[in-house]
Amino acid sequence: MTTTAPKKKGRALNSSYEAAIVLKEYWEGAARHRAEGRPVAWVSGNVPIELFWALGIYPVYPENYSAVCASIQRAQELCEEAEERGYSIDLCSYSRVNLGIVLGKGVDHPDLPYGGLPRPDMLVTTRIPCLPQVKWWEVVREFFDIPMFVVDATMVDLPIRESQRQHYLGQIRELIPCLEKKLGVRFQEDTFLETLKLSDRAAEIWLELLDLRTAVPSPVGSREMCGNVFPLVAMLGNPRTIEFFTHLRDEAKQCVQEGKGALENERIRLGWDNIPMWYNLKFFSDVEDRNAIFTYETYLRYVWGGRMDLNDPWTAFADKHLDVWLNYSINQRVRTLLHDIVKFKLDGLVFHQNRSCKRFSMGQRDLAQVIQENLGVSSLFIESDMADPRAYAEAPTRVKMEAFLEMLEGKKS
Amino acid sequence: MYYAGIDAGSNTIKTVILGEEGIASYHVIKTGLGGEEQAARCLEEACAKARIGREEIACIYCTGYGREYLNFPQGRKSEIICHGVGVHWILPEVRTIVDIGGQDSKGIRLNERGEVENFNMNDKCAAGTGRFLETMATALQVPLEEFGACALRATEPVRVSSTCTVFAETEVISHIARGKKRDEILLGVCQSIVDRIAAMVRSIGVKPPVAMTGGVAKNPAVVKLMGDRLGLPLLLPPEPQITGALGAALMARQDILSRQNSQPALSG
Repeated sequence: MTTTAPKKKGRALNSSYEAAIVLKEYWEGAARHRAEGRPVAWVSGNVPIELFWALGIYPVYPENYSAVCASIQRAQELCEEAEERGYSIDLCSYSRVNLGIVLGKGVDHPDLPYGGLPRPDMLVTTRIPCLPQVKWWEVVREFFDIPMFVVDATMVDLPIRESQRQHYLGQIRELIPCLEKKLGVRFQEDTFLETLKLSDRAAEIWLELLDLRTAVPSPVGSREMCGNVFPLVAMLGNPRTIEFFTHLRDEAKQCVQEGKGALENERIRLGWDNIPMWYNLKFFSDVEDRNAIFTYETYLRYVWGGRMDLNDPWTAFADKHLDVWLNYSINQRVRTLLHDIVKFKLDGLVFHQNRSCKRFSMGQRDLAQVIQENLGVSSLFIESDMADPRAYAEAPTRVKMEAFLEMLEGKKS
Repeated sequence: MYYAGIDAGSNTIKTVILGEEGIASYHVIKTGLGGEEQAARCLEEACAKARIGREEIACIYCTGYGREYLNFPQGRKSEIICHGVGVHWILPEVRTIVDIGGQDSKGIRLNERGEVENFNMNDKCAAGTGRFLETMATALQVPLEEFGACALRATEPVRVSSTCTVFAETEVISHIARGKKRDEILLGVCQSIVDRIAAMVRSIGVKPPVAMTGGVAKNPAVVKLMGDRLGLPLLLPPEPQITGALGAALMARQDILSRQNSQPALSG
């Protein structure tokens, strides 16, 4: 018989409520920066973000904005705006939301969250997470008639080779004068190194926080943590990020020391692979009714905010950007997951086959197979999308998830 | 003592009454508008066939899409677990189940105790399910019961390429208009179901012996083509449509027995 334990109300960590404030500050800061006539660049995942903060260029993340729109159930209408203009439903939903805004309502439409997106002076992207990003940016570049810079990187199988590092750094050495020339800013190495310190400090605290989630019971689940990650994406080098993450880490640490978990009766520990369904973060907390918790995510651990050895800052800066999940070979992903499943004491993995993100989704079956063969840990696959709710089928997904939990309960009993 | 399992599926509701001697009766009705009333009717019919009163049933478990909406069962389990338990009771040697129901299809791998080791199921499309077959039977004016036998009379299938039930119907109608032989189209429809779900089934790591369950297992052409595709003969339970309900009834029995501090009795 299905047993339902009393679920804890609200957030497991009170500091998680601060996430919405930080997010609002970031978007309001972007609007203010624009209004004051200072330069704004639109950037994408894994761009060398610290450079922008150090140069006084506001890095605006349309990907995050698409995720925000999804989380408040506005993504579908914006996707449809893009689809009306001939952009296929098979394209990345982050890009469709953004193109729906750019080509449809307009970036400063008052109806949009946070009053819209500040217009860009320049576009910077990288091939590390994906290739469609480059094509998406080309449409935006043509619309605004502004410069665009693409940073290339080779796929890595750790450790990173010197040639891979130099390939990446060569482009950063081109990017800096390009930003100076196009946006009228001046690069100062001292300021940049100071920004790197702030970035690394934030990453250090974030990783400590994630490591606290190896504890049984886990202090905090994925629903909250996905809401907390944003400053690690867009605000590395900003002291506010350190402040927020310190609050989270300290609170989680206290919970672990007191043996207090996010669930009263944690029975099953789960991991998640891929970008979450931003319009349906409730998916993560729904399993809590069955005493299961998502306590690990590849997305939160290996996509953003790696550590840097600042004794050799340029090498560390390059390595940090190359050493990310979306730039790993399958072999590297396998090694990483096998290690982490043991470390986080996971009973099962849920792979989100994300229709939008091919880079994240390719190779997931191989990962599941190796995990099963090596550790006897089972996986579940759900097909959906990170921002477009039309790709999510509630009833069959619930059936799958329930069956998966029943299967894991059976294994444990 | 009697136990009941109800599988409230999208297309049909199945009830199995389990007695001390095994299956006492079963009943299958169309889901229609579904809901509590229809499930209760199915249970009453099964009780009548078993010549028992409903009050003689010690425990009722429910599975299937409708399980959340029924108030009377004492337990609810997912159909994946229930199919595993049900098939293991009838065919304990089976290690993989291909279940094709009204609007979903599943691959389920079992261990030697009948516990689910791995599974996969279709997420959001009705192609490759019983509903697809029903739509095609209507378009081709063939009774569903005769669909498979007619298909097996054909030597070559007509290709039905669309992965969408609605578009596939249009494609079938155009084949009829072009004078293609009906049985060849029927075989093509069966082939398209297998094409649609074979990779999904294989993704769980198929281990022999393999059994097929669900309403579509009554179609001998789909059973044959699926066996050919997997390279294995498929075993069929005597009544492949009721294994989910049977699993639910067995779990109801286990519930009572474990409450009585007895050993679980999921086998034999």
